[in-house]
Formats: sequence, structure tokens, C-alpha cells
Amino acid sequence: MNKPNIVIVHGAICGGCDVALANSEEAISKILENIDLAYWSVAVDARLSDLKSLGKIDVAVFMGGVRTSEDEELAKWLREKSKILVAFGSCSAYGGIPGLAALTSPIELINLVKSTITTSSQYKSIIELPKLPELSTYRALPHVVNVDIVVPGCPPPIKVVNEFVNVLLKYIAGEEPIGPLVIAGSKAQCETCPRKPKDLSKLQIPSIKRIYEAKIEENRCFLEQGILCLGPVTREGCEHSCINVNMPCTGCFGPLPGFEDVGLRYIAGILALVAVEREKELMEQGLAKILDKLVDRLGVLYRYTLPRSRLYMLKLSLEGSEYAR
Amino acid sequence: MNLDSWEPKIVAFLCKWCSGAAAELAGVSRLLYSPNVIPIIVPCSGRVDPDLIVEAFMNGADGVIVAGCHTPSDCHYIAGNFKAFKRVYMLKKLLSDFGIEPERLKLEWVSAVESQKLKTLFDEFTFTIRKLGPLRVKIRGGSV
Repeated sequence: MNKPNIVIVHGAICGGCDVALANSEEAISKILENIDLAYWSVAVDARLSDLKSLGKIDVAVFMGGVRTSEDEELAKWLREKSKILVAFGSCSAYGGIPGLAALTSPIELINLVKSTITTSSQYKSIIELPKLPELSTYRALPHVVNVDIVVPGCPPPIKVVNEFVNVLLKYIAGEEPIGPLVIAGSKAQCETCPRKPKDLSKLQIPSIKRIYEAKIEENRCFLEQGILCLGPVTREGCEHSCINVNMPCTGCFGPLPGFEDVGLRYIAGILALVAVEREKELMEQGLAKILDKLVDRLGVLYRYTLPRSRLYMLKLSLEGSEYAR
Repeated sequence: MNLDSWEPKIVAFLCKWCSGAAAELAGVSRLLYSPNVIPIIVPCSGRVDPDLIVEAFMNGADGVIVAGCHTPSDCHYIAGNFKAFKRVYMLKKLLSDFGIEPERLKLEWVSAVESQKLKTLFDEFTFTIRKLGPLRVKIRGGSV
């Protein structure tokens, strides 16, 4: 028996992606049936040294963002060794929630931790931290190495995980990978949204409200109610798990094909529509005040995609980083 | 970068109906304005996508001007200038979130007869950018 093998490796991750993979019975049973699970530190007892001693790797699944020098080294090593490299989950594919820390420099983060952690003075001299991997510039996996499959979602829903395993089995059977394949729809969330307004071209956003300020009506478009929903700029394929429980889309499935930057697209398309009927009268009283209601700009516009935004790329290139594109 | 020989590069997006016409008038009237400004005429200021502005910065611009028709009712397309206002306003906020001075982006209303205003705008903006220096990011806390 010569089964192909799979390794599942972690970067900066919360653990949700592991649960999502394990939770999908169909997917996990197909993997176990057809592929040899060689390394998965949360499920199989193994250390990094065991991973490094593997002779060949067929499939490498990378979960989480690239945060430390160790993650980066591992990602590059996996790309060299493995035939198929998978970016699994939004952190790996787009940067994800930890990516929001990308704008804060590593030294600042470390200083914050050092200045806020308190310890009893009598132990101060005793505690010595082990040598930790160095924090580096936060990046999504596709910025560090080329990937073959991208599985978006925070965490990826069961349907997407199943689809991913099907694609994986096809690749293993001999089909050639065709560049980075994203396991998600290529249309916007709004296309299939159950709350789609009757006439999309007459969509009106009266003002911007934060979630706690509004009594959100069910079965009515969030944007019409003034709640910022990232559906118009996000890929479909998640079966609207947030929208179905009366929460707006936050964009974990990443940007639609054709553009990289969710935030700029959202400003151009949706925020320009805010109070569109009252522009003239509001201009004098301060149209800006309405826009100021969006306080946490990065958290709303770039919740999952900050490390892939063009302004972040601009920042990296101005800092002279080798990762700027 | 040698600061002595550095000259600011500025891209100006001018709408075809008002600010662009003002630029034409400035040319015909032989008004001298700062040579650092590269005017680009677009159909409407509401056409200027934030992506285009970021593209300009990525390709080496140190400052960007967006100029359109006066509010509330000069816009040839009725409400394009309001869209420009909202986009530029939000983009300025985003720029400062990312550590880039928002003063590097300026929105101004210039009508077709205000060639003198356009000249002053170009000259003053060039002066502002010259003071700010080349495009850079404020790094908080230094590097590791």
C-alpha cells in the first residue's frame, strides 16, 4: 500500500480550523480512507522534528497566518517539499483576525506585553522566558509562497471542507493543479442572499448604525437598515451562516475575483451610497458626520483581509520590505 | 534618497466639466503653476475610485489632488461630486489608519472660470507636500 500522505501544519491560529476539519465527518473519513495522515499536531502525537524527518510530502495544509520567523521558515520548507500546498482558513488565505495586528510593529507589541504583565517582585529575577521564535511582519500565506488551493472561511463551513476534499482527491488522482483555486463561489454574497432587496439598483443606505444601536429587522437587507454588511464585496459559498442568525456579513470569504482590496471597493461602492437622497441638504450640515459613525474602519472594512490590502502593500513597500508587491 | 534633489510628484484628477476646464483656461491665460503637478482629466470627480488614488501613491506620487465641480448643484452629472467627497473623506481616514499623512490627499471644488484658484491650489499643495517630504509611513515603536 502506497497511500499519499498529508501533513496539517499551524501558523498563527486559534484552533477553529482544526475543529472545522474534524467536524466534517465526510471529509475526515475520506481523508483517512485515501490519504495517510502523517502529521497533525492536534490529532496525532507528533513533533515538528517528526515532520522534518518525512521523506516526501504529497499534501501540506497550512492553517493560520505567517506571524513568526518559524512560521515563515516552515511555509517555505513545505512549499519546497510538498506537491500540493493548501491555505486553509481565512487567516492563512487573507490574514484573518490576527492580521489586524499587522499595523502594529512587533517591537511595539512586545513592549506592550512586557509593560502590562505583572509578576510578584520576588520571582522577577527567577523567571526566564525560553527562546521564542521572532515576530516578523504579518503576512498571509499566499504572500510568502505560492499556494495551489485556497479554502476560505472563518472557520471554513462543512460544505466548503467537503468540496475541498473532493478537489484534493482529484488532484491526487493525477489532475494537474491550475494555479490558486479558491473553494468558494465567484459571485457576491448578495446574489444568493435571502434578504436581497427587491430592487438592488435602488438600494438606499439612510445612515450608518452600529449593531447595538439598531433593532435589526429580520428578512430585510442590512444595508437598507444602515448596518454595514460586507456581502456586496465578499465571495459567496458560506450559505449565509451569519446572515441567517441576523448578523451582517463580515467578509471572511475574502474579496471577489477581480480585485484584492475589500475596503477600497467598499468605500467606492457602498459607502458612497450612504444618505444618497439627502446629500444636498446634508452637505452644509456635515455629510462627514454621517460617515464618522463608522468608527472602527479597519475592523469593519478589513476584518479578515488587512494583510492583503493595497494600502498595507504600500506601507510595506515604503518601509522597504521584501514582501511588498 | 537625496533630499536636495527630491522634487514632489503630485497627481491631480480633474473633472472634465469644471476643474479640467479651469486647467485649460489657466493654460490659455498663461498662468504659471507648479510643474510638479501632473493633471489627469477624468469624466467626473465621482469617477475617481479610491483604488486609482492608491495606485498613484503606489507608483511614486507624494500627493494626490481630486478636484471637481462646486457643491451643491454644479456637477454635470448632478451628484458625482458628493460621491467624490465621501470617497476621499473615507480614504483620508484610512490613510491615517495606515500611518500615512492624510494631508497628502486633497479634495477641492474648482469651477470652470476659477483658473486662478486652481493655480493657487496647485502651488499651495506643492508647498505642503514639499514640507511633508517624500511619501513615507510613520513607524510606531521602531523596528525589531
